[in-house]
Amino acid sequence: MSPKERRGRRRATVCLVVSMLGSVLFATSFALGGQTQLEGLGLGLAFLGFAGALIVWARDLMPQTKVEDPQHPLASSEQERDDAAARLESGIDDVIGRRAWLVRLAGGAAAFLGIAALFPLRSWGPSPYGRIGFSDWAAGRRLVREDGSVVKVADVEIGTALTVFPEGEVGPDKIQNMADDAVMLVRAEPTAFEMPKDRAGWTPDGFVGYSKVCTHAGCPVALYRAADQQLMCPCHQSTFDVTNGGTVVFGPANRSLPQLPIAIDSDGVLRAAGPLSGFVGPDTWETSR
Amino acid sequence: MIRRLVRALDDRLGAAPFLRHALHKAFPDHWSFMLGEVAAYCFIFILLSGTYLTFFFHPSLQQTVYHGAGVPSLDGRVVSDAYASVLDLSFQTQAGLLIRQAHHWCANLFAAAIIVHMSRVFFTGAFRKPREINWFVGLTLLLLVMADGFSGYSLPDDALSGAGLRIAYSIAIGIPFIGDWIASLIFGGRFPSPAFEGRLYALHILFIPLALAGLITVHVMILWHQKHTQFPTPGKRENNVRGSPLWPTYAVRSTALMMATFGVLLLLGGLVEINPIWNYGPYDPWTVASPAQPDWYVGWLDGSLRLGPRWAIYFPHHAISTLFWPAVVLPLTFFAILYAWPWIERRLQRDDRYHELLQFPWQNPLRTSFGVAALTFAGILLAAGSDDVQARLLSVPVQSLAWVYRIALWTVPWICAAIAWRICIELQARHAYKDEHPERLVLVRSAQGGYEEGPRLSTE
Repeated sequence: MSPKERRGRRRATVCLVVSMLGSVLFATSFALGGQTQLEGLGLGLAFLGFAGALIVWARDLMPQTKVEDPQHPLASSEQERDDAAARLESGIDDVIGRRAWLVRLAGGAAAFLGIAALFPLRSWGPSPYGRIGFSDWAAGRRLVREDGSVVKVADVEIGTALTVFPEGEVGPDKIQNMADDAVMLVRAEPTAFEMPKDRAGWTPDGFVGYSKVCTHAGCPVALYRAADQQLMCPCHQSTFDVTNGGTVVFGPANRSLPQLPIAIDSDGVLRAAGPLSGFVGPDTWETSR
Repeated sequence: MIRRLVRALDDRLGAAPFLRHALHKAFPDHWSFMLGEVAAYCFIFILLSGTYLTFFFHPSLQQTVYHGAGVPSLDGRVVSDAYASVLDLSFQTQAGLLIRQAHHWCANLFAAAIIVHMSRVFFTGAFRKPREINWFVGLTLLLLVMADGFSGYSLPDDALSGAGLRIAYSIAIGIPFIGDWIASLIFGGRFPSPAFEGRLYALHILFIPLALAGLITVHVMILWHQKHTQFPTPGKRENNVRGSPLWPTYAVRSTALMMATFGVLLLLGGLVEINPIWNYGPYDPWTVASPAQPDWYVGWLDGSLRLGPRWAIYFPHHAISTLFWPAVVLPLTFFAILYAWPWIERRLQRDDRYHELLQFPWQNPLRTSFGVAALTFAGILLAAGSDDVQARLLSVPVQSLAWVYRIALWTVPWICAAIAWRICIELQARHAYKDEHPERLVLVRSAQGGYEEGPRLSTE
């Protein structure tokens, strides 16, 4: 036995023993109730040990035979190619021939069939018109948390934010509504605002609400940074100014967040004073802002 | 015994001539020819581990109350059936977490193996005539694997992937003319539609794997018929293929590679946590995990969205979304150029000949520079996809970092291409010099500090 053969046998033996131990480790761990790390280690070693043995086998224990195949262009003779093309052509000719009118009719039938076959696609979903970009917010609707509880002035400290929905539109069967209704309610210092003139009175006691659906790609604008009075989207970092009507201060979004005018009723409960100021979420072809 | 088997097969199929020839088919010995095989073995592994997972996963957004011992912090929470079933298969099913994590790692390795394999094919010119068709098939396989990965990690209905689906929906509604309808039909109404989970599941476990299996078959059959390319080293010519025989050398080697691939995936699956959806929480459309990064092969699209310009176009009753440029136009253009590259190169270099011998990257500066630029471009987008995490690690504002990436995206690929071009030219000059001067002069310094001419050496 050559030294190479002897060394190869020794190495392959070690590898195969490692593989067997790996299998035993996996089976034992599984039988004793299971432990992911040990199972992964065991099964991984079982495969890697086997792989190692095969590598040694191929490199040190087997003869290093080399073979050579001929390689030549795949192109056939001109005759062969012309014959194939001629067969295709004559076949087409057999079908079409001088039946131009019938062929046109068949083309028409195929087009009809194609269009008819598209109809089942319509079952896949409802018409999008009037469904995308709208919310349930309207004047007078009370602001509630995810669990349905109303929001009172005294509940919210200055410099904090929470997510609110219109009352009656929360719960496991309302998730589609909640997806577009979600509003980030922020309470800031009442003096901090520089709102546009036509939004005077939308921020009583420093309460300001913005749609939580990013106008860029629809992610929740979930990060409230009290120090800068900014709302930021964690998906693509679009950043909006809380004090100035939700205008974009950074990032790929091109449109302000729609604002929810807020009112406080005689019980100190927050209500919407009107609908959201704009189209919810990203633009679509049918959007006209 | 074997003789009887071969006879029986030959009686029924006439398989003996094929077998005789196939068993000694020549496989080139260079390691880079095994990269595609890693991808093929990933496909086998992902099919087997995925089938295992389907036995436990419920593709349903039905809301249930979670009562599992696996994640005490979520006990009593209302979650979807899909989310709960992933928690259960991870914590209640023995070896479930191992298989699930190995499956997820496999998706990541699958995409990586394809991209590295395609880089080898690209930079050595293996896609040239007569192999353009397999270049298209390969690119299509890459797109399918990316789609299968995205549809797969979106299934558990967790806070991270839920946000990813909403981004996909937002991209869809932003497509001009038909976006609203496409989104409504594919997603089954406005987002998040309960109908969508089952559709995603059908795509993930039926349609895309079937397409993958079909195209992989085509890929391998074409490869078999056209035979391998080989590097232009001594003894290898346009009219031969030299290497190890399929049986037994290459079969043993390739089986070892399969075992090693499986072993690495299972080690990763057991030891390295991936996609811990119990940390992200169940998906409520008004919540999101932060930081939010997709899997790496989708990361370049996320980076594209982050760097995208604010180019919305408004018409009286219609709009083109800002998402259209970074999420639709950019990736379509990128892949269109990759699909067209064999033709582009043929046109630019006026080369319509057969090529069975590969080129070293330095032999074709144009191709190498373009490849380097394309990889740099995609790499910058990928890096930009996690700029928030980098900003935190580097303690710089994410805004500054985003601008660095915006500028880098349109400048650095050119610079890298120029550097690659220069290196190719230098290497060409070096090889030309060696070819002209097959012998080298060796100077030997003597102990006294003088120099003497030593023996002449061959450069080979």
